[in-house]
Amino acid sequence: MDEQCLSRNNLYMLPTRHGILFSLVLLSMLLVAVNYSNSLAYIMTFILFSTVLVSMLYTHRNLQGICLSYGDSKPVFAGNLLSYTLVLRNQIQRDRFDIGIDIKGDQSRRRDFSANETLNIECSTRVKNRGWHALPPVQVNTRFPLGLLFSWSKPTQLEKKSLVYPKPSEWQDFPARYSGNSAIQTQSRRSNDDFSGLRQYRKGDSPQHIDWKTYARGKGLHSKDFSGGELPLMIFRWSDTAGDKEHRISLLTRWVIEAGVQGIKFGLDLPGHEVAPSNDDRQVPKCLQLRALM
Amino acid sequence: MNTRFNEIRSFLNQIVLGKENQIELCLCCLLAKGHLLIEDLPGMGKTLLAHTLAKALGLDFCRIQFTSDMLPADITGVSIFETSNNSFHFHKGPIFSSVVLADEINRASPKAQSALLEAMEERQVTVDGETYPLPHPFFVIATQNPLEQTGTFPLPESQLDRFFMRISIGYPDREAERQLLEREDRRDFLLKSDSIVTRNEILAWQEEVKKIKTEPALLDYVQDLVEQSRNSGEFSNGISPRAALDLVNGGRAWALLAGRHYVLPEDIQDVLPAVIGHRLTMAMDQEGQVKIGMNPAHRLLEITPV
Amino acid sequence: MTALFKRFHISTGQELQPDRQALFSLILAFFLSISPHVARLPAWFAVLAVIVFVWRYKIISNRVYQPGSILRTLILFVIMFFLYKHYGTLLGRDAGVAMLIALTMLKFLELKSLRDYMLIVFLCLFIVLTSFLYSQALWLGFYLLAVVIILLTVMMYLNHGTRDDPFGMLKRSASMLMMGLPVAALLFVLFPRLQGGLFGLPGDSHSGLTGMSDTMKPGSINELNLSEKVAFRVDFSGDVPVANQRYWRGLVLEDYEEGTWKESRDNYGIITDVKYSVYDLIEYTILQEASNQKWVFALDIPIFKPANLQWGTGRTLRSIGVLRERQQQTIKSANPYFFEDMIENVLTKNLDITSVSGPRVAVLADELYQQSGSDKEYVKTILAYFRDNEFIYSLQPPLLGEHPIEDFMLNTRKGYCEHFASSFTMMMRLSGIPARVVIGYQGGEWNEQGDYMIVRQSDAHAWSEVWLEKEGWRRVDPTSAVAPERIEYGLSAVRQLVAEGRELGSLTDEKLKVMLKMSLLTQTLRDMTMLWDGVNTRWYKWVIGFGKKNQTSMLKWLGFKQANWTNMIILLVVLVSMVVSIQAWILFHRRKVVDPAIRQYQKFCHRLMRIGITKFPYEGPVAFAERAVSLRPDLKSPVVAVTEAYIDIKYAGNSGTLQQQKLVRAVSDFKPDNKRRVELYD
Repeated sequence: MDEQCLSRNNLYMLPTRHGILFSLVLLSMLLVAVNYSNSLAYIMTFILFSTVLVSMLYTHRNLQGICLSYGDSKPVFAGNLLSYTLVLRNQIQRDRFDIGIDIKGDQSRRRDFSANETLNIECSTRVKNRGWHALPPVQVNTRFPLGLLFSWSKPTQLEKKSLVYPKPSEWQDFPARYSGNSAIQTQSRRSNDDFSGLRQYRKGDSPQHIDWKTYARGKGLHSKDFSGGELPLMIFRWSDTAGDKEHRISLLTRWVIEAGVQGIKFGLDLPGHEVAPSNDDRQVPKCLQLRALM
Repeated sequence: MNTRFNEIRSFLNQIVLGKENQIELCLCCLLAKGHLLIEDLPGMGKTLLAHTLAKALGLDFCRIQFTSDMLPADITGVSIFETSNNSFHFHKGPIFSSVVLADEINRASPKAQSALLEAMEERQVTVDGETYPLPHPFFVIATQNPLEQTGTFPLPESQLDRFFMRISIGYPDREAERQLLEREDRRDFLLKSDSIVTRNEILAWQEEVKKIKTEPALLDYVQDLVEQSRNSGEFSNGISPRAALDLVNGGRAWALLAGRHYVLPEDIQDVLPAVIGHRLTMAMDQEGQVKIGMNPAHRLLEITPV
Repeated sequence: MTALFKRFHISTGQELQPDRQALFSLILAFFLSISPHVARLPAWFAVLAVIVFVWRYKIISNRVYQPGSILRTLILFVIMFFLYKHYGTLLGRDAGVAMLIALTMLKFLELKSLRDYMLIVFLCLFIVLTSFLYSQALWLGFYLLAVVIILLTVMMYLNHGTRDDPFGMLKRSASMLMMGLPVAALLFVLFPRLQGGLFGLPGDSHSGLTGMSDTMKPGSINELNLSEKVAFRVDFSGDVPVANQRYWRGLVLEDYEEGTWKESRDNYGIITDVKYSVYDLIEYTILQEASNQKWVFALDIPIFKPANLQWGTGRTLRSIGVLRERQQQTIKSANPYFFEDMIENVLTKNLDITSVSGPRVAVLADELYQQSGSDKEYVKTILAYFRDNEFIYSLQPPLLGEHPIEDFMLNTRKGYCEHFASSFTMMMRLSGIPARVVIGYQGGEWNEQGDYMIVRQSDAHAWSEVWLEKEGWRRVDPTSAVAPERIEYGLSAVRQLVAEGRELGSLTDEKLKVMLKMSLLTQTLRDMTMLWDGVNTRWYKWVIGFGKKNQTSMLKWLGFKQANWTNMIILLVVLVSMVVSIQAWILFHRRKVVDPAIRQYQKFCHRLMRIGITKFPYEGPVAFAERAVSLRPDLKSPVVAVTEAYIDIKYAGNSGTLQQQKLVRAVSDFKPDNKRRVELYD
């Protein structure tokens, strides 16, 4: 299910412990009214009782017609925080009050949102394994309006997956056949010696290379460009790596990231998959996705 | 009108290379009758930008280099007793120009600074009880160097608030830098070229800005921004009403520059970092630290739904 | 409950920690709730309140010691001790309410979690309820309804996670309560009532009520006359008798001892046959105020009485128990009436002159009887004697001497109704005509606003009844001979005339009417008081007085043969579920009117979301369109069309129907293929 819309079929309601206590209070009020044959005491008891009845409708109405779905999330590397957005859409235009949102494995939140609003909840979770990561099930609940009744939705697993790239390994030199290239060998990535200017941030750029100063001046994300003359064309092969599968994937990941950061034109040659060399914006994510799903 | 804007843009971009966004903000600031604060390192082309602007717009230009021994009279002018006709004669100071470049404003004493800022606010100068109006349009570009702190008097927040916008120029990109190195001295080029628009045209445009439509939906958005800045708890103090007004006017001028007769939320978003950047600071977190690396203007935009 | 949820892996969300504002609103609500009780509480409660709330303030401001359970119990015992000392008991209504309030106050000292706060709200609701045990006045009902709304708002505030808009919450709780009213009304009407309480009506105090006493001596009625309090109200089902026929009989006094008239126990409950014409019957309903006595006042002469009343002496009516609360009685009276014959010992009782003293008064009676010849003539002679011998109706009569009757008849000749009634009756008895004194009320004020009559304590009156051969008991009012204004216009008119120095009985009717005409201001004021009285009377009649009887008759009217519990419960369940379903239908079909342009745009965003392009909240429409187009260049023209139409309406100010239609069309044309989602990079 892509989207779960709340209705009578997947909403439940029970009194809270305050609700149970309140029903005892109502009962004793009724006893007083009966014992003293007091009309106003009767009226007050009945008014409170019927208000609770009405509040039941309010409670149900507060959740009914909300649609839950996950928005898009950006791919992350394994071991990092995956941020994603839970979208609460107003299928039936109504102001919503005090909606509790519980995402499994995350802290619960309480929000209001108005009839013409779509509520976006920013969440994050740490992901361990590469591949498709299924986003956790969601449950919404409310105690609105009086806190006497508690209504909740059937927790549902929404069909939304987010891509997790493999964790990049420690830096190792590019395959030996490219090591003859002086430009690469002399590159020390953390010094500014070879700083060649700023360019627009591209997806996949290492955060280390983001020029935070310009970002702080409000000019958006820029990455520092390191360059040294003519860049070579590289093809990373499965056979360039050794060790167990995960390690090999990690290393290839690292290389792809580095190549991307340096703007090297590169391609992949893996068993069953081949990616033509390129250095455009989509090359890095494309290769990473391939790696993630291997 | 759009063609005229494009002419100005192409002229300015010929001389100030690779700074389209900054130039656009400058024009926006001018059309919205605001004053501009440029904060950047020396040699980034602040003066050039101001000079080019004045030239392109056909306005008289004056540069005041602020120093620590400066007196207010050095800015506003001074009354001198003339023996010939036994009376005081007011000699106008450098501020009586349409485009004033106040260079390194943080070097001057607070006294001199406030003389300039008062003139900016009131658009007139009062000396010895005599009031002299400043020319129309009147556009102050102040610069300051954010790095050098010794021997300077940083502008207090109340003074900063009087600047409509604060921008920084930044390094040119590689391509622009190459052009810059290759080509002839741009200052000579500047001297040779003629102005593009007239003073009256600018005044007409400034009037035009006032007619740009701001619909309730847009004002709602601006008010949401203001409320978020005040109530979200992420900022140390919220946007002032003056800043909110500047934001709307900036959006109007931006829309005019884009050739539209109404303001879009995007216009507000485009000018907001420049208009709000110097008036908004992040609040301290629990450890008493200001969050580093978080631009308050961007943060504000991020947390405010359109 | 929470544990149960946990077991089924249902998250319950977290409860809120109440903030300082919650505490202040709770304190305010508490004081509003106890406000009707304040005057009844012992004075040292003020000290207790000061201690508790100052302590509470110290706890939140300086983190002073919050009392533990031992100390709290100790305080509770101290309070219970003082309460016992004050009330002499810890049970019953008064002590119970005081105890409840004290407990609630103590609860303020141990506020920690949401549960404590909620408990105080519940206790406050209960305190509100107990106020009704003291008074069920209309204004109190409305005041406490407002307090209930405030308490509900506090409840809402305590449970509301974001707590942004207290005024909105107030509005919401008020509207919830209003929505509950139809069901509450159904319950009120149909919930089966018991006759009397569960454990019998608690005998709590109903003291301090004023009313007529069972004896009459000079001054006793005059005392009542000073009070403008309502004695009872009357609803007539037919014509209203004229003022000089409105004699409401309360007690018949036959024993005379030492200047004081008393009811005779001997003739209690003896009734004799009365002849009357069916056409002369008057039916009316009396709404009797609580008087702490048994008298029920009926027009002369009551013929039919309701089952819960008894006959008293001389065809007066008595309730079985003391009247502690308002009661309604429907009575039929007839006038004229004829008594056929009388029981012997009743006659002797009414001829008793043993305690009449003074030698001259008997001589006077003889003399006057000689002049008239017959009994009937003798009555007229006495009345003429009053009229012609400068007897004066006065509200400040001189004190009477050793022989009160003689003194009044021959010397002072100044007095009010009791003097006249008493003397007249004795004059009758001295000449061998059975006579007795009747006390009750005379007159009454008509309330045009509510079409009923108000009889006040100031209408209290005394008159005589005389036994005439072949006619039986006849009402004679000697006061009318001296001060007809008293009878026609009431005591207030008499007061006004006396204040203006007029002689009573000297003016013609027309002149009187002109003189007594009220000014516009007084008239308006009177109308308003009457209106208020009318509203209150209806309130008591239909709301407070609603009981088993009304229920039974209503169900009968609805066509139920038997008004038993099962019938009522069935009817109740059916009606309540009907009302609730109607309300649910209304509630669930009520949506907030959202700007149609926004709705259309949301539809558009939703469709984009389904193909994997989600609008960020901070994204403006143009930026979003640009991003969407960059992700799906094939959708460029429809996306641009929608965005342009939307911007045209929302930001360019062209919100005409044409533009709206354009947007609707653009959105309905926009149907991207769901199958082709924008996956990340494929």
